[in-house]
Amino acid sequence: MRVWLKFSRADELGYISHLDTHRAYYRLFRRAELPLALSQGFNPHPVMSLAAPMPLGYRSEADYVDLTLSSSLPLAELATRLAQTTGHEQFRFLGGVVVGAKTKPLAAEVAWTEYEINLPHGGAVDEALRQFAALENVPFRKETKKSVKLVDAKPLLRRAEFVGQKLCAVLSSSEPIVLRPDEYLVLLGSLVNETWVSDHVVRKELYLREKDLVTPLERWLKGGESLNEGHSS
Amino acid sequence: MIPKTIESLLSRVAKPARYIGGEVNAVRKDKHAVEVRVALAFPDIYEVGMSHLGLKVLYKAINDLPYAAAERTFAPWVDMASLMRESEVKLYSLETFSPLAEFDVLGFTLQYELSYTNILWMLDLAGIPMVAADRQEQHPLIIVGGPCAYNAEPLADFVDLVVLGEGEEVIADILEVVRQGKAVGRNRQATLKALARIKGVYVPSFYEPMYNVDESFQGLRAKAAWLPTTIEKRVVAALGLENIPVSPVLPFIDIVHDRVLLEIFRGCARGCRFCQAGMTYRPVREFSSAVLVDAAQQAIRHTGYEEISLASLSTMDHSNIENLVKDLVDKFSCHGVNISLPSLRVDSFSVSLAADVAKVRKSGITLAPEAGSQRLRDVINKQVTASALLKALSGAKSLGFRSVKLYFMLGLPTETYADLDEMLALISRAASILPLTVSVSSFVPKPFTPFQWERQFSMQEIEERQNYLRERLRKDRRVKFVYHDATTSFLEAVFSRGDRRLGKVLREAYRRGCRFDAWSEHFRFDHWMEAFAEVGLDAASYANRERLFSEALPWEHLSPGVSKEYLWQERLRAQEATLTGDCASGACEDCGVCSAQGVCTITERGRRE
Repeated sequence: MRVWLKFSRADELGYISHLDTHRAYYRLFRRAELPLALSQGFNPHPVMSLAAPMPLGYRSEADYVDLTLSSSLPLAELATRLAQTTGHEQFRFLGGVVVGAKTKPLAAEVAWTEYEINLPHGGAVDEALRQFAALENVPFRKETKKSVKLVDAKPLLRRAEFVGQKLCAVLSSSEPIVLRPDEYLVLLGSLVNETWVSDHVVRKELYLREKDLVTPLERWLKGGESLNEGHSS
Repeated sequence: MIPKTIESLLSRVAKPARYIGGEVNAVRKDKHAVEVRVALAFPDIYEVGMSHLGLKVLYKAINDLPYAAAERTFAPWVDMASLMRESEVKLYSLETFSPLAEFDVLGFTLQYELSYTNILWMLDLAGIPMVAADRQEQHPLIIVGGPCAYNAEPLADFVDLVVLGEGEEVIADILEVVRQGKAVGRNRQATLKALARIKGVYVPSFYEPMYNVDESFQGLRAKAAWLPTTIEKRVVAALGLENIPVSPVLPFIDIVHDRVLLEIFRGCARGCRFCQAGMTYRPVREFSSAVLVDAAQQAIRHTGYEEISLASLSTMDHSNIENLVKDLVDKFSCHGVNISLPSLRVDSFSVSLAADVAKVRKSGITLAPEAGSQRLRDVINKQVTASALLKALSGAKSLGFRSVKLYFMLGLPTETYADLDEMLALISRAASILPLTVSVSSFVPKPFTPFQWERQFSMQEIEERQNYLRERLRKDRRVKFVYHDATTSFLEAVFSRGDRRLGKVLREAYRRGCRFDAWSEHFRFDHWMEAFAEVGLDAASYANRERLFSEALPWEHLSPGVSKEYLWQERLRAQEATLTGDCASGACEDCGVCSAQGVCTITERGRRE
């Protein structure tokens, strides 16, 4: 049985790397005594993956785990077991769906990430957003470890709004071009000659590679078994 | 919640998760609801300290006391330390983010001599005066324990008390005195006096070293008549489930040993004459297989770990090892939990058992013949023959292992170039079976071993012997040769048998910036030599001088139970290359520990009174 599970991570767990987070989920599931499917081979490991890596220091209210179980387990039972496990307060289970066995890995399906970027010294953020929206294309120097190339940032943004001190933006998080919140801030700042530094970034949601913004749980809500978001353990 | 002052530093350091605590199984007690607060300090980084079994054992023992709380603290890496200094954040505990100065007791473990400057550094980072005499009523008591406590004289100026032996046996006695002292408002001196009456506790400030006119050590004088002249270690008579930390703190980041460390027995009576642990942790006391299987199940349930490592001084010597391993594999393999055997004996049985449990690709195994010639192996009482080693290697090859690591020690007492030639011959024969990594460390004479009187070869002699081996192994493409820097072994030898005067050297070296000396990128031998020159002490006279039997040794007021007569007799037998048996499986060799401590060897087969 294959499931997609959504978790919210405790604040301080923004300081652990993607690999360490992966291991922490794995051990959480083992403590919860979930029937984990193990890979074949010399060194059996669980069949699971985390949807999207995240820079160190960000918060996450949307961790998604793609997990294969060796036997079927009602999601309500899975939720109960997680709720009784040490450490569940740090990885709070928000909901899950049963997905088809042949489904592509969730990591390959996720295309967009919604961030909440706190800007204590906002300035002309609204003006920058307006300019960004008005431009036909927004040239941006994208630096990777290997190269620097000029790209158009316009199609890398799906939605943005600035409310209070919080800039909420849905950015591309899939190849070929990822736009990180810090890069997005530099880009916006350059439009109005300002420099912004965020003291707090929260990953709010992930969306799939679809025409509309659809979350991983929403895609499977119509059919099969699911535990709605908001289910609290 | 992480305090803002600390959090603001985290985005600017490597591996910030070292500094955030909050791990599964960490014990966070209300600091106002307990009477005694202890910070357990490991003088190295988080990844090293969190891998240490003793810390897990003590953490449990203290937190099991309803009136006490144990928290953890580690040496911050240099990036974090300089940010903490800049922003005036004092070194803190990971459970409640309390400054260390707030605790009643601050306990450091002494695992290796090269961590001593880190202790001074951590006190400094905590804003606690480094020198014991400078500390005030409100400061924590600084306690040290662990293997190097058997000669803590170089740290005598800095610590309030030294604990000998197994900490979980004595800690409740100590904390009870501290608790009563707080309740009745006893002052620091009075508390230390009360603590000095506890068996296993040594208060250095109550004793005074005396030196002869030629500046050699004369002895230690107790400043009061009621003080014990010999401080005996503490030892747990019989080990059970309560001695196993089945809910160890589960780190978020990858640490050095990120697995369940299941201690299967304490002590080792094989009697290798260079080995301090083999002498000081006696007698052998096994956990029964039934207890171990139960503990393993609990530990896996509490952590979700995917590996259990069977820990002890010589794992294969557990009297029921084969059944134990079989039981554990049967119970856990279907759950994807591996069993690993970290220390192998040099024999075919060990290798085949290791192959049985190796779920992962059989990449390599490690064996430690320690010395190259049969004569020298007899000198050190390492009961291994060349044919047993070669047979084990052939066995390893047929079982699918692809490489072998061999450990040797250079500069053992009586070693000559003829022994090195035999080592080279043995390496060559071994390399014809499997590709080798040959790792050569330098012998460091340790207190309370039969070799405590021996000289360490000079750094020049060691380097010449290293070069001799390297030159002759260079062309052999089947062998990878690695060796330890002679300077670090030299400094270890100085401090392992040092006296109280070395405290000044430690301070001077620290002042010159020495810290993380066990990390090659931070080790500054030149600063150390400057520190010795500044203080006017000759380092070589500590490391390279043979001691006489009649000579007073700076650690003789402490006792692990093994008698001096036994150690001397063993030294004489070493010189004759005569072997001594293992009392856990053979006859009693009268080392003295059982009668001194009123304990006995306990194996799964029974007690040996």
